[in-house]
Amino acid sequence: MARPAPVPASLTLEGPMLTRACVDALAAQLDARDLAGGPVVVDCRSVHDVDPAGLCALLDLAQARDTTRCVLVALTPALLRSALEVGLARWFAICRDADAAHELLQNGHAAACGP
Amino acid sequence: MWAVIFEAADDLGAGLRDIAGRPLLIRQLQWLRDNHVAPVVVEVSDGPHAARLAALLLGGGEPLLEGCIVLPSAAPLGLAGAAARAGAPRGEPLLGLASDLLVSGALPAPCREGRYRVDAPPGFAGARCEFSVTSGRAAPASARQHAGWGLRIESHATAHALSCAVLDGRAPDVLVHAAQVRPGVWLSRGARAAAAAQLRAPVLIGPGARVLAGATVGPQTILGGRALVERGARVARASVAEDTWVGEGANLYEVRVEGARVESLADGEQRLEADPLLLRARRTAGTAPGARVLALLLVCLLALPWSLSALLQRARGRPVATRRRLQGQLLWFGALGSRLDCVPALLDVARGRRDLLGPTDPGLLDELAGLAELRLAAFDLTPALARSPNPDTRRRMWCWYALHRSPGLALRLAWRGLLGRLGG
Repeated sequence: MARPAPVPASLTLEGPMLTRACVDALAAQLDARDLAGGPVVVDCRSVHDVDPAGLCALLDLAQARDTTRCVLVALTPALLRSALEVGLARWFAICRDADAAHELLQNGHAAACGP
Repeated sequence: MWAVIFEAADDLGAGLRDIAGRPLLIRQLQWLRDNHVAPVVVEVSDGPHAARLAALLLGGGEPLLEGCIVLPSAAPLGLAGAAARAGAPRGEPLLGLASDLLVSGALPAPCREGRYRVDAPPGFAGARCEFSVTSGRAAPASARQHAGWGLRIESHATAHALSCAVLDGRAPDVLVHAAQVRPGVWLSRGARAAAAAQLRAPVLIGPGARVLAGATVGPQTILGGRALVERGARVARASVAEDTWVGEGANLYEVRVEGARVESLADGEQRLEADPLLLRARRTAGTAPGARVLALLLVCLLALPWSLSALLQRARGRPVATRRRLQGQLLWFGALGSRLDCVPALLDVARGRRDLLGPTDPGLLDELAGLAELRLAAFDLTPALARSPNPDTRRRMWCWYALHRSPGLALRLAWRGLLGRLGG
């Protein structure tokens, strides 16, 4: 019998500005939950502006950890644009909303398993 | 019905190719809108084209893009992957269109599931291509014939050939956003051609573009928005990208030109045109007057210590500064090996040849060519912009800065860098 897919943890990237502190808080949330590579859905809907230091910290976070099972959802236009410009999709899977992310992660869709 | 424009796996960024004055992606969105297909998911895979597509999709100003769902991906996901990530409803019909495929003509009503084969427009020998309508996220087995034409825009040469067909009236379903002043001669809004300039059909002069007296433009030529063709220049069977300046005496034939970059339409070979007197980007904003004055003041302030160091360097038989050509500009680079090396760069700033603040990396310039105007600056903001030990992070942040550079951002970073230094 197939083992059920683990339920993705839901985290939030606090806004309204993506700063280094926001990214540090996200990293702390990841650490606190001891996610051990389990699926994570990060809601980005409150991030309406991007600070270079925050974007740099997010890139560093992505490169320092295994984020292949980490899905960013509900990106605002400002964050979406920066995500495209710096290529965040190389490290994070990006979905339109949490429902799409949950469905993908739980169904084990090939496209969801990694960016 | 939802639609997904997914990246063609072997042809990233195809949606940026110009079809008679508008990007292919906008043409695709127009076709979908004409057929009442909404919402539309647009996949953008990571690559050098992503920043340009981001500017097009999220820069505002294009009504067709309202309601589009932009989906970044690391590599092309295909129809099923992109639809799943965009949250397209399962079990409902979904139109899948590759990013390099332009289709015309009305969809049947009701639009039944199946693979739709489309023939190339008259005069094009391209292979038959297809799009699909499916509710199962997998390509359906049944195949139908679509009433309109379709063409895979696999290169700039194909895009140029189709653009000329559009101007000639051989592909009437594609709208030209310009006025036809003579058969095959199209002038966009704000475009001006001197009375003594020759325009040979088919030709499209883009919005705000200018053709000066004595220049010859056409046949089979597309001038992008705000392009400028100087006196005596000849442009034929060519595509000139927006904001490109074609200098006096330049002779362009069967090429695509973007700033100083030239690509042959015959074989796709690319090269960087070295002579800025013949070709360059018009969008060189130049150094701000305030920055030039400030640079001059700093040069005056540092002149004495720099002169003393330069004399010592000379006495050792070593060069004080070297001159290199970068992005068509001859720039000075200090060779003292100290912080006073900024003085020659400041002289360039005072001359208006480079900026005062910004990240500096010659390697990056090659990568960014065609993406954004990033010129070497006198003072490097990298420590404030990308305080990261990871070179890949720094490179990506430089790209980001190049796309977002503004006096306000530069000052903010300079202030942050200064505070960082004071704080140790």
